[in-house]
Amino acid sequence: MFSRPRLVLGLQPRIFIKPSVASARTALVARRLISNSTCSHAEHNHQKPKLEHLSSGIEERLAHSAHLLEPEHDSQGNELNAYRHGPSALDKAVHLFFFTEIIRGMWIVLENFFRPPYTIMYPFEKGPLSPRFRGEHALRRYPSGEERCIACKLCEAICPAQAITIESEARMDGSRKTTKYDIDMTKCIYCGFCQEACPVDAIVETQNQEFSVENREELLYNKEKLLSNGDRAEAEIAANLHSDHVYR
Amino acid sequence: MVSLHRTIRSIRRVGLREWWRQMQYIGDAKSGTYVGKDQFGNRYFENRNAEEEIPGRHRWADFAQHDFNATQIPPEWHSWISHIRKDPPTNDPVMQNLSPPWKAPYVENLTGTRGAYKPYNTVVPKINAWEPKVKARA
Amino acid sequence: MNKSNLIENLVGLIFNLADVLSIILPVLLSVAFMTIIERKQLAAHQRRVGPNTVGYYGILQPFADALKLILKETVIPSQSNKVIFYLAPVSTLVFSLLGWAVIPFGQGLVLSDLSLGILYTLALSSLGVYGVLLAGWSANSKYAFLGSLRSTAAMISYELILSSAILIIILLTGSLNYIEIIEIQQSIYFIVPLLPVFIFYFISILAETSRTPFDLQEAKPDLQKIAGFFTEHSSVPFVFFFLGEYSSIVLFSCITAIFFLGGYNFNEIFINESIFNLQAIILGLKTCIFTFFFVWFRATLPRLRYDQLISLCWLNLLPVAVAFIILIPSILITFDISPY
Repeated sequence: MFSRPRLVLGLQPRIFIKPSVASARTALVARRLISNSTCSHAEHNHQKPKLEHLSSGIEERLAHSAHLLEPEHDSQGNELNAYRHGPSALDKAVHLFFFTEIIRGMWIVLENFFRPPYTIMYPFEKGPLSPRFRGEHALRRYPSGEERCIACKLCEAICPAQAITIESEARMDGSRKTTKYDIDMTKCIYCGFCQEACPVDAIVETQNQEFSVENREELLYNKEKLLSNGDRAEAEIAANLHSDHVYR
Repeated sequence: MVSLHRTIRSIRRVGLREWWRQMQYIGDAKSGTYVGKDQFGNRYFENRNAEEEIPGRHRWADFAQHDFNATQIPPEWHSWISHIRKDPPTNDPVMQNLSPPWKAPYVENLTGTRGAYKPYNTVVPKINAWEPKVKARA
Repeated sequence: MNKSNLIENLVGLIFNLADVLSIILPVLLSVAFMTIIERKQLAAHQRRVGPNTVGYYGILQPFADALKLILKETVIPSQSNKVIFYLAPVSTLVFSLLGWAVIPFGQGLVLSDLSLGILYTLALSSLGVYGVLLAGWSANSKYAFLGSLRSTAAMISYELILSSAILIIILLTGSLNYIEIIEIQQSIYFIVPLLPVFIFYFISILAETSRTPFDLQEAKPDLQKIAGFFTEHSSVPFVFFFLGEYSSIVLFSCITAIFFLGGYNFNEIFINESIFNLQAIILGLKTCIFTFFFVWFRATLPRLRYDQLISLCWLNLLPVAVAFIILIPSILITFDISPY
């Protein structure tokens, strides 16, 4: 019965207790099972970790204390003290009356009291986004200033919510351009299919998610709005496409 | 916990006036390196020391206007402060090269004000409504 | 009755009123800030910030909450017993605040130095159960009534354990007077020899104030079939319940500080010679330790189901309490150190 405290205190001659912060703290809390008490960790430190096969090492750890109490059998061969490797009555009483598990849980919560919070102060700090984030739509232009959209209507066809409406006519100089390109942002599901479908990278989704409005009417974007979005955010859009184009 | 040690360290670094301004707006004492300023006057800061600022909060903006909102950040700085790009626009060659000459000036989200976007039809309407003309009885 | 006697009585009355107000007003302020401290401390344990918008770091939040609750519409069920409906939360708050009359804030600085101070406190905690009982009953709703019955049963069960723990302290002190208890702890704070008593005393306090892990009555009604006892109470009656609960938390923390941590004593400060009441500050700090414990328990522990709560009291804690009630006098008699 006194073998357990002697093990924990390290009074066995061949056990070397490695001093570390973890063991100093855990020494304050009585270990219930030998499988996670400090002496068994010390035992592990002597052996090289065998990684060829996964094993729990229970037999080695139990074998360590096997010399302390012999198994007793009665006349029929039944084992009388099957729980001899487990915690002693004093251990169990201590854990019962002094709420050891509760105090261990509370210690962790107390540690977290002193750690900084993760909360970000929104509009000053923003959450992380990726260059592939799908936000507000924009129509792009070529570097010369010419609009990219050639009214192929692929985006209108692929849109799952049928949010895009396109009408096109030949422009005065004969090129094929749209006259009407509406995206109904209230119907849009921000899936990004339009930017995937577009062959000239005209319609893209920027990373702007802060375009909330006070009435729904303002969310029915037309071509002018989309173009002007693109004009303002072109640097960001182009930089994101640059960082992402190898994956597309 | 908003640590007293961190607050005192920030006050010693940025000074009392700046700390007071931060308390009025951000609500927390933050100190870090000054990264740059945009065309509206918003200042941007960064603190990459993980022990001082927890890694989600290491970039922040200090708005120039008193009635700030999140859309006042222009797109180049927006991609920096949303942790999309690593370098701020002042140090980012990719972003500077890809800024076209026809780039339009940025305005914040004007919803609710007179400058709000109102949708309109960009094509000639195909259906013309008729004006009812009542002919007098003969 | 001549005029000077009347004036004397009046002046005495005004001074009494000033005494009472000088205790009640800071207590009410502390109760108000207890709400925001709880929210900020819970948030800190959970690595987030609590309310931080209302004032700097959120310190004006309790006033915003109070304002909101006062401006809400008070809904009274039409079939309820209106008098009791109003009086029940009021009585909860009043009995919590009455308990502050016997707390000493310094050597002799107590509103009324009753020689039976502890008995007064126990009586008030028993009367406080009435507030809960009448609240649920007066709402004229089956569910509120059953919720209040469960709450009442839990509170009176744990009063037994509370009284046992206090009885042990009385046995060691030899008196029911608060100042005696504080004076006798000059040698050692009672938490050191009586640590197991402190443990089950703290559990009983958590249950008396219906705090986690024993607050199934306040938990969301979808966790249990029956809602809590104050579901019918809105705005102002609810404010009284709310304040009454936090006031009893602060009161019990203070009482715990007096019983187990030595109250206003700090062993080197026997006589208060400055105008600054250091002893009250020490009592305040010790009270803060226990309010921290209250919120710390709330942050850590899951709730107990109601039958687990009751069986914990009667099957597990009561034998321990009785065992200590037998052990401590045995030790006192054996070594002949009884304080009488």
